Amino acid sequence: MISDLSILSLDFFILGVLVGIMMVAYCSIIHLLVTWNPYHNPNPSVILSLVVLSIPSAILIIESLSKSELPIFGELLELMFVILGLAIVTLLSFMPFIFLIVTILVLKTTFERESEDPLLALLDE
Amino acid sequence: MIASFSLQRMGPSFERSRFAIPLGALGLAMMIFIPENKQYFEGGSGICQYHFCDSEIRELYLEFIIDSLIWISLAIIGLALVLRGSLYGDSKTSVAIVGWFLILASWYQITQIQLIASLVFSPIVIFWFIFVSIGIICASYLYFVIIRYSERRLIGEGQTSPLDEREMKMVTEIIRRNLRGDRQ
Repeated sequence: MISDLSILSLDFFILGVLVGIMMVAYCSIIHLLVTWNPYHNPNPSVILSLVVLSIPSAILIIESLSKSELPIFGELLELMFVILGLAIVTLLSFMPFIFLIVTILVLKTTFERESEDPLLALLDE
Repeated sequence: MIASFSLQRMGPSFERSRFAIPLGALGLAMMIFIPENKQYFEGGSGICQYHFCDSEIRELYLEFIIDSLIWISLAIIGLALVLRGSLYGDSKTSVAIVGWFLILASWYQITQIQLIASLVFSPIVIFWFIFVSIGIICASYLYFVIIRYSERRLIGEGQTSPLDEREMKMVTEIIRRNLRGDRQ
């Protein structure tokens, strides 16, 4: 499936978008499960994450069935591994640009002088 | 690592947040020191014949991840130290200098990663980044809509009672310390 892709084709675009969506779904489901608490309702978001994360598995199962083969569970997991690996490399590659902006902001903070703050004066009273 | 970040963002009102730093340290150590097992599709066999599944690319991938973890760790520690050393009313020049040293070390580490230059200036990768970003933005918006919908359906606890004298003093003190940087 992946080997059939050519660069800048519609498939390439769809795979890119799918990688982005899965990255968000993967991070979200971990976040929702780890921070589970009685003060919010995470069920719809968890269900959405599970649905999104099952998309590549569904594609692979459909492809396997069309070839009259049984899908291999290991393949499903490793396809997910490849997709998330791609997402992580993509984000990490462009992280230095974000770090450049943060460095400039921190440089400003380092040399910034304390401003007159009316709220602080109010607190002193 | 993601779980650690989420726990840290929960704040001190949840007891489990104290596990954030040990969990993050464990995740970081595992990513750096435990070698990744080879997947069965790598090395030209199996489902993945695309260029990123090649064995040499695999080595580059692992090296890239470890180098990235190193510069990001240096950057986070450096930024935290600089901010701590530059806060209003709590200025500590030595802490800020150590922080800046770590930030410079982080930039040096970035310049040593050759893969970044080859990736970032490749038109294919730029298109790929745009497509992935579209996916991230679409998914984030979808989550925003779903969370807003589900949170609006929650029944509120009604209007809270106004702060008493002791609570007002406590809130004032918290604001004063945070704005002025008084840590004691």
